Amino acid sequence: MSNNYLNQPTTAFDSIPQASESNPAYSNFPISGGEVDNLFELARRFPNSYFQKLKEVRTRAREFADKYIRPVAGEIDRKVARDHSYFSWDLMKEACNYRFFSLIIPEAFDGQGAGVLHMAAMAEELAVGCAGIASTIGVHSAGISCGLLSLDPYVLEKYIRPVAKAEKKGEPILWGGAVTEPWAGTDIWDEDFLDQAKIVTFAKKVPGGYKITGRKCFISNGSVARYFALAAALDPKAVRESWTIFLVDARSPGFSIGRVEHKMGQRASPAAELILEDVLVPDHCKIGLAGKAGWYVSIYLAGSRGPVGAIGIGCARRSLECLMEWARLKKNRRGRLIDQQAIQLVIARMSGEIASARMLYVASALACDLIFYEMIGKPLHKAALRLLPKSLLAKKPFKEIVGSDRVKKAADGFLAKTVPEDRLAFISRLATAAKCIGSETGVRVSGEAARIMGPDAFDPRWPVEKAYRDAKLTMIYEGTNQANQITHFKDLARTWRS
Amino acid sequence: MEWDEAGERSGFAQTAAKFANWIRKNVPAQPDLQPAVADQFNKEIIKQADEAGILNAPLPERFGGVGLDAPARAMVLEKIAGARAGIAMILVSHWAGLGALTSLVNDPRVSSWLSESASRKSDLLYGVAVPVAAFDSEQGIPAQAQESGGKRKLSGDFICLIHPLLVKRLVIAMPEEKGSGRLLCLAGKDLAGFCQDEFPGAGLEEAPITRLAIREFEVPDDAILVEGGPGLERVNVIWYELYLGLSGAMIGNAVSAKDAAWDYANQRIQTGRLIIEHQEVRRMLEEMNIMAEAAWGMLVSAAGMADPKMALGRMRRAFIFSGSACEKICLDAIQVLGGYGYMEDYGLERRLRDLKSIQCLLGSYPLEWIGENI
Repeated sequence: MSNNYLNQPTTAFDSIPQASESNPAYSNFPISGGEVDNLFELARRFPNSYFQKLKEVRTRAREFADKYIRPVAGEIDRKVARDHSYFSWDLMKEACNYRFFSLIIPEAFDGQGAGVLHMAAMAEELAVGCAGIASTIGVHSAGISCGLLSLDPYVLEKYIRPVAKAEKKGEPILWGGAVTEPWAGTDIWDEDFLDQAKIVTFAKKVPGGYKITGRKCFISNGSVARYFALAAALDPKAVRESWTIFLVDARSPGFSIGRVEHKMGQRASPAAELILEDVLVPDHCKIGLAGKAGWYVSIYLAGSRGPVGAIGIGCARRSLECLMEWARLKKNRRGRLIDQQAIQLVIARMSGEIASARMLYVASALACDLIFYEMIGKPLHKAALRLLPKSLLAKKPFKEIVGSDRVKKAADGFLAKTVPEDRLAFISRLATAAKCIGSETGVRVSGEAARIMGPDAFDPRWPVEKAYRDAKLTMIYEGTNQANQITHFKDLARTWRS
Repeated sequence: MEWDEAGERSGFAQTAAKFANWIRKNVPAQPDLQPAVADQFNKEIIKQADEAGILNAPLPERFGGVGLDAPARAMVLEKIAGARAGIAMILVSHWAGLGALTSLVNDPRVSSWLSESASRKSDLLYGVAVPVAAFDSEQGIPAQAQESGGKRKLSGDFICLIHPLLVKRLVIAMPEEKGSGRLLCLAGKDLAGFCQDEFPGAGLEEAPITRLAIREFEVPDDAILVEGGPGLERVNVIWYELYLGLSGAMIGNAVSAKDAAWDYANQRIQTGRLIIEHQEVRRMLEEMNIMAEAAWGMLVSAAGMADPKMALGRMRRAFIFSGSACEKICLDAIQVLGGYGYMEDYGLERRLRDLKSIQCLLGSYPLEWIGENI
């Protein structure tokens, strides 16, 4: 082992360009509260319908969790413990009636045009019922968001509209995201570390598309999703420069599912290994430009990390609900436990932690949603998308035009303009904080609730122990909390002005 | 933990380590099976523990043991839990029963039972049951023994650290109001009918921990070992033994998790270097060391105390601290491994499940802090 680790800083603070010089809106006192002003400004830019939809989605998700998830969550957990390949398709079919799978699909493509905040609120409510189910549906939405980043109407027409259509018929078509590999975890999620990552998934250009070979591991929805937004490098010698996202159909020849993992928690959401052996992916399934995956992943993570924090908060909420109910029923010689200070103050502390963690994911999701709103949510953009004839979208010449590198370059330029570096750093900083604090709150609150309830935490009536196991995963996926903190620091440095 | 004391304890540390290695090699890890029900219980474990001289080691020499003292008992349980926490729990229960009985050795009944221990081989003879925390449930009732029609009837909800069918005698601890307590010793098979579902813990698969809902069980006259003030003293012996055993088991479990994280950190390469070379990982590993050593120090210090009343208080504090410290160690160890820590491959997820089960077993933690559970 080399002893010079102390001389290898993760980031050199002074070497990071102070991107905020050009746009002070995202750098106003990043740690002293000036960003609160920014958030209020952001919130004002959304139409009323955005907030009405939030309320509606939350109510819908709560109803689904209460009515369908809670009664079966424990049973699913136990079933998967015995049979790792079990997946509750029945619950997914029921979820179609609540239209969770088309939540973030634009309205022009038969979806509901919701944003990250709606997704996060949904994830929190579903996680109160079962964090595994929340993950399954959340990961699906995150996968779809990667497809949306392509800004390619043909991809939306061919791969994303069918999800909304099938949902109406009660047939769930799931998506997933595939980045992590057996020998590359933390480093594969951060563009700065890509060159050092030991990746094994590579794509090779062939006539008509790309052939992908390699392995992905711990992929949520891995054994049940139909489509994956999958990252692969085109050039083994220049991983960072050739790191690209592809849309892969799980029914393609050469695609197979490896091991379905036995997990400690969130068992309702299967994590599996994906094995790709010369899987042919058509040209139009390359998302955006080659070599841009690191940047796309950064944008994707800025959107998906807040909802992960929300899942942690859902676990915490369920545990607190159980604890309060338990303390109301139980008594010792001094009377009911809920009437005693030792319990009351713990409950108050937990409730405060949950409320503060929630505000973080709301802030990060609001900031992120503004990107989508500016890209495709404005009335003019919506009208333009609606007016595009469906018949044209599916035509070959249209596919060739929108799939050309020239158009992709233009879309990429539009994206770069909408998400400048300092704005991304601002959102990402909030998102990483929301993820870390939300997940830690989940583990802390459910762990503490279990300790208070003692053996009763294992009683199926009060699934606190399950919430604890579930919450731990939120500290790990979408980059471990430590990886998130590295990103947070870099983003802070990017927007810092002394 | 490393045991650097010379002499008899050090010798016994080697015996315990040898038994732990036998467990690692021969007892398959079976994650997520239901806790071992009585008829699936692996009796070979007991046989091996007996052959190694561990099973009855706390007994005085005249009863076939070696009079293993409290620090050494903690050390043995720590080593065994390092291999499999569930197996340590079986010994915790047996030793808590032995501890309570040894304190009543002048009672001829107890003396004859303990002599029986010396003559019998490879049998798990004792277990303990304690009231479910110290509070009543909406359906349950507090532990009580009432006179009714000239007969004593026992009712109450108990947590039993072993399935009653697996033990010949079950020692039941009943703390009562106003500084008194009662210690009962009942035949395990007589209580089998009161077993509820086995403890639906998420961990400790080898340990058949059971909830007992005893209702109006007629207590034979000779089953009440001691009552009143002396009764409470003996009840406290059981709490002391449980706190000691569970703390040792938690520490052993956590130290194994820490060692696994250390090994992984020395193998896994991320961002072009071993993850042990990342400052944060080193900090986490060192914090794990500090937590484990602090918990161990508290436990050994409490175990070395002579005054039983003071020792019980110290032991309770050691138990509370061990719970917090070991939970932190297991959580951080999983974090070092990332996704691999959350999956079954490295066994760390099981360590956390076992730890949480042990930590929650005896009751409510804030009430523990203020001594309301006793």
